[in-house]
This record gives sequence, structure tokens and C-alpha cells, in this order.
Amino acid sequence: MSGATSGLSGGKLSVRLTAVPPEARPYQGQRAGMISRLLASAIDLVAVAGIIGAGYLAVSAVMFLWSPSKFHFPAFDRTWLLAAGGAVLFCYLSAGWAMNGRTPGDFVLGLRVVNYRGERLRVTGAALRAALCVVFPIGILWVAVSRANRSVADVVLRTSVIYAWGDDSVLTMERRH
Amino acid sequence: MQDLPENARRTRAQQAAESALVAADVAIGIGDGAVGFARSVFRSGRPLLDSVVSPLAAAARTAAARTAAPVSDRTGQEWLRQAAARGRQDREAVTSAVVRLVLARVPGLTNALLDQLDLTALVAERVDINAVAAQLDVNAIAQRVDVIAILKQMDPGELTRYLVEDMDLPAVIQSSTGTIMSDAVNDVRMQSIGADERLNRAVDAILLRNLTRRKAAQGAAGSGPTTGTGDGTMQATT
Repeated sequence: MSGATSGLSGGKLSVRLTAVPPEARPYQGQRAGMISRLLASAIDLVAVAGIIGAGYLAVSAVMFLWSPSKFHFPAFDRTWLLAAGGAVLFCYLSAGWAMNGRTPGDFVLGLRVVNYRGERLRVTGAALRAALCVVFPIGILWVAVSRANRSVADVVLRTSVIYAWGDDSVLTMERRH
Repeated sequence: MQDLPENARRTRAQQAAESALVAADVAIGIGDGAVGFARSVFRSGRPLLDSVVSPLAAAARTAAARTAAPVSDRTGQEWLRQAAARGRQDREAVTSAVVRLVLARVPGLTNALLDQLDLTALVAERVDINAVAAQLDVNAIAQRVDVIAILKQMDPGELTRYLVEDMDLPAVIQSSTGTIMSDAVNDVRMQSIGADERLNRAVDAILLRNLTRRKAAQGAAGSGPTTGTGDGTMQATT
């Protein structure tokens, strides 16, 4: 369940030990297809829904503590819910891509979002990509049509979503060559 | 001599050893006869000295005459055989007596010698324990060990405490569970990759694309902004 690869880049000899199974290694670094990305997005949506639900319960608890006799569960109209959901989703995606290069859903499916250099997105890039995904979520369907497995957000922002299973357990040794 | 076969050389060596042994027996026998003769002389005592002197003189004269005069071969050979027989008996008697004496004294001597030695230090200093241990058949030893008897002597409560506290059994179980979870996640990931490829092939077929998606994706990755390294890393190519 482990393997070692090495490569020479930029005058450095990079040796990496990964926990990627042999059958998955050929796919590592390739752009992911739509099914994987949809599954990851579904997990993220469930997580965001959980966050919104937790927030709703928290607001209700505060209202109950504030005035127990007049308490009733707050009712939010659809616009408010969509706005709150969009805001939470934006923060969720931005934080995940900027901090780890992946959201929890991406982590489960072994995906990673990188920029045109193959590096983790900066905060600005992550925020822009998150905003695009929130505003135009249907753009992910372009992955199925694109030869390069890129969504609309990927095309606009020159980003990629790749299969990257083992990066969390990678041990990197670098030495000057 | 070097051309002789090994067996011939050994036979000659054995013959030489046997000849030397016979010669030694003869010498011992002659000595024994001389000693017996002297003993008989002294046993006779002083009062008989005078009467013995003349027979001795006569015997000496006879012996001198025999020595001076050539004896017949048959008589000489018979005398030598008798001397050899006596010598062999004496040698065997002396040998057995020496062996009995040594065997009787060896245990005591050995114990006294061992008492003076620090065998542990001696072994540690002069014996290559690792070389000796390398020749041990551990499996054969293990087969002779009565594990059940050992387990019966153990305290189950103590064993349980050791497993839980010292070996950190909960951590082992947690690690094993993590491995199982990791396998499950890997299965989900592989299935999603398979689903991705099937969907890509279906879309490519619908759109009548000649170039398969995977090649296109690799080509795009290779000529485009990024390229995969096969281990989840990306290298810039622009």
C-alpha cells in the first residue's frame, strides 16, 4: 500500500513516499472526471447543510434562552436561506481550497484543486473560484463535455481538479543536485 | 613414496607401529625377567648367598657362553616370543592400572579445577556465543516447549492489564480500524474513477470523438498548464 517515486525538477531530486495503491497511481495528477467531482460536491453540500442546520439550532437556542415564554422556531424565507447557504458555501469552499487545496468532500474522493502551476490556490484564487461555483454551480457539468475534464470555473480561472490521493501522507525529501 | 596409494602408506605405517610395539613388549619382557631373577636372588637371603654364588657364577658363565657362542635360531625366537608375551602382559597390566588410577582421580581433580575457574567469565571471554547460537535449531527447541503449561502459570488478570496498558491495545484496535476505513475510502475512490472513465467514454462516443478522453486529458495536462507525476503531485510545464 505504499510506493516511492522520484523525479528531477528544478535542480532538486525529489523522492516521495506515498500511500497510494498501485492500481490508483496511474491516475494521480490527472484531472478528475465529473462523477468524482459531483460526489465530492454532494458531500460538501451535505456538510454545508449540516452547518446551516447547526446554525439554525444555535439561533433557536439563543432565542429560547432570550425569551422562553415567547419562543417559537424562527422562520426564514427562501431568499434568506439561499443567501445564508451561499455565504456558508462560499466560506467553506474558500477556506478548504486556500488552506488545504481540498474541501472535506474532495478529501473523501481523493481530489485536489490546483492552479495553473499545479500549486495550491491562493486566498484570492480560492475565493474567486468559490464565488464562481456558488453563483454558477451548473458549470461543473462542463467537465463531462470538456476534453480536459475542466469545469467552467476551471476554464475561467485556469485551475484544475486532480486526483491526488496520497498527498496528506507524503514524506518529501529534497536535496540539492 | 608419494606415488603410493593412501591405503598402502597406512598399511606400512601400521606395520611399523606394530613392530615397534612388539619390540617394546620384548624389551619389557626382558626387563621383567631380569627383575624376577634379581628378586629371586634377594629372596633367597643371605644364608644362601654362598650356595647361590656358585650357581650364579655358573649361570653367568652359561649366559656368557650362550652369548659368546652362537645360539640356534629356534631357541632364540622362542625366548623372544616368551619375553614378548611377558612384556605384553606387563604393559597391559600397567596400562589398566594407570587407567584405573586416572579414572578414580579425575572427578575429584576436575571438581577442584573447576572450583578454581570462573567459567562464566571464561566462556564470555573466549566463546563466540553468537556463533554457537547461530547453530541452534530454534524451531526444534520451540517444539519442545510446553506453551500450555506456561500459559497455565500466568495470571489472566495480569496478562489483560499488560495487553491493555503496556501494549496499548486500544491504539492497536484504533489503528486497525483506521486501516479498514482507509481501504473503504480507497474503494470508493477507485469506483468513482471507474465511473468517471465510463462517463467520459460515453460522452466521447456521443460526441463522435476519435481521441479518447484519457489521452486528451493526458495530452492537455502535458501540453497545458500542468502535468501529473503519477503520485498525486503536479509539475509546472509552462
